[in-house]
Amino acid sequence: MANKKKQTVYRTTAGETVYGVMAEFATPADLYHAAEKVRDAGYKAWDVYSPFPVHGMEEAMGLPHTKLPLLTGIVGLTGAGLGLLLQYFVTHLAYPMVVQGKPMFAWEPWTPVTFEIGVLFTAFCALLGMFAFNRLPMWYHPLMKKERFLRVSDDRFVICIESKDAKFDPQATRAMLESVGGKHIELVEE
Amino acid sequence: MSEISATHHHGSHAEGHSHAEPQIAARSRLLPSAVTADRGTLRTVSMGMMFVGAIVLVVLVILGFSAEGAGRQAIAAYHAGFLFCVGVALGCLGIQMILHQFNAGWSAAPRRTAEGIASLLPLCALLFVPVLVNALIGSDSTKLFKWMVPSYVAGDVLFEHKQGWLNVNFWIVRSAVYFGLWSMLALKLYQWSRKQDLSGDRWLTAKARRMSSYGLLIFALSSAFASFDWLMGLDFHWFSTMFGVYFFAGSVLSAICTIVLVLAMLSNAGKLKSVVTPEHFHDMGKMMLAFTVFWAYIAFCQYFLIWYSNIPEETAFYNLRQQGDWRYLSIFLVLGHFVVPFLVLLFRGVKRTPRLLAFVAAWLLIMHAVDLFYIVRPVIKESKLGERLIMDVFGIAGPALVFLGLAIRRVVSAPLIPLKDPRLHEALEHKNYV
Repeated sequence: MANKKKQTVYRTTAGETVYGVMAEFATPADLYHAAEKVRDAGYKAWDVYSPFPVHGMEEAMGLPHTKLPLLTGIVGLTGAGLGLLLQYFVTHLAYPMVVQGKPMFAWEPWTPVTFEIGVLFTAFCALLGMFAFNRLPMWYHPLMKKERFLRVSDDRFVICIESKDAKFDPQATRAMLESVGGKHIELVEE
Repeated sequence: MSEISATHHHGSHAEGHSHAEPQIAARSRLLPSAVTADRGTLRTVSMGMMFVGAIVLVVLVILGFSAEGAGRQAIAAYHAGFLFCVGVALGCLGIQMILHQFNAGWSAAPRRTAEGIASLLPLCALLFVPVLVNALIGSDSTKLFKWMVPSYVAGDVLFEHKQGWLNVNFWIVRSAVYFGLWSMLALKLYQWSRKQDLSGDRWLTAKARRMSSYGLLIFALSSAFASFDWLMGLDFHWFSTMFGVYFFAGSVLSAICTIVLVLAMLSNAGKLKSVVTPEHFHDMGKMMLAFTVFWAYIAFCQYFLIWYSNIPEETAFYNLRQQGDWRYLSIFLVLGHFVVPFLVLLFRGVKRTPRLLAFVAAWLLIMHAVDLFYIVRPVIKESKLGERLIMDVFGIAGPALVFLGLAIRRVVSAPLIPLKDPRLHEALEHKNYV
């Protein structure tokens, strides 16, 4: 979106499209400090990969706060409203019926259903919204082809800067990753 | 297998390192100027509150004797104020035992405030004295609890069945037992924590945790029965099995609000910088939100079941409160105690800004007082809502001011945090990461 520069497509000598450049780190602390430097270098399209969540990483990466709570709140309230409408439709329009001698317009029995449908919508929105914002499920990722990347599920930490970043340059990005302490820097093909 | 154990060993080794570093960093924040209050100014504030509270109480007594029938209203309003104070102190006791049980690291920073306020429970027994005097020597027309008036209950079948529980001697014994148990738990926890400030003995934390296990059981049962005796007993025909939980929800909510208020006041005075941070306020704000919802949930459940089954002796409670002006107070309670604070507390910014959160906390404390007023006051059928309103306000404000003054005095008389709590460094480094 913010990419004003025309996107350059880089290709390897074998003709494959370049996805990005990855660098490996040995400890979460190295990863954290490297991420801070990548953030300060002004990169936008990049990500870090680690076997476990590293606390405070979103700050080190300069990620904005998620919009998911706002979305969940709106959807939850919408759900509660729909729950109310559903009961209005059923007990007033479709099947008006006196039950247990209770008043027709009683709000009391409507409350649990309204609440529950609100909770249902909230829970589903939080889960599915999280998936959507993380672009999950993801059936394919270029990094998965890299032998060294597989250790990210065990004891290695990786930063990958993607070629779609406006600041990406095969040589300069590689040099930058090297300067922040990255090891085993490799080009990643699509 | 060997690989797993090797990784594990490595892991624990690394943890040992990361523990030592923050501990050194933490100590530099715990300068005496940051963790002890300037006693002068805050003592003056607390003395002022207690002084005003005392005057208010004297005026209440004069007003109570001034007019025919005013005495019962005065003691009813005072009773709501007394339960407000007990609820805050009791909630502080419960919340610290819950935090001990969870071994909650973050809570080491705000816990001392809860310990200090809960240690006022023996003094709350003194606040109970006027209610006791009313029960013992009050004339039949001024007695707060109608079941204590023999001519009123004569021939009442329901009362005859409940007489084993509802007799004055047993009622006094029970009240004494409640205060005894609460004082024992609260003073033990407070003394151990203060002792740890000097000795640094980690086992005192383990001891506090062990006592909290059975302490919570004692707390849950005694607070529920206290609410039956002191609140539900106001209308002895009526009963609700959920009432104990209702009282618990309101009490813990008001306790968290008081802790937030005290800590916000201290941080406003430049204390506890980088010790009690927006991260801790954020967590306490989450608990305020949770207990606001919990209170509403329990309040609705209690109402809903009674509304559905529609049994006269149960519906009497709500029937009374849905008639006349009490109806407006009911609606005000739903909006002010639930809808508005719920919507406001949803926002992250509110929870992370101590001043805003303190404002919401003060509002919720007032609403908790209104809630107790709403339970106690309609029982006085001879006086409608708004009649002699000054007595109602004074009855609640008097004990509340004295109590909050005492609370501030107690909090500033000790270090503001448990200085050598083994989880303190964890609390100082606490972050929410969301």
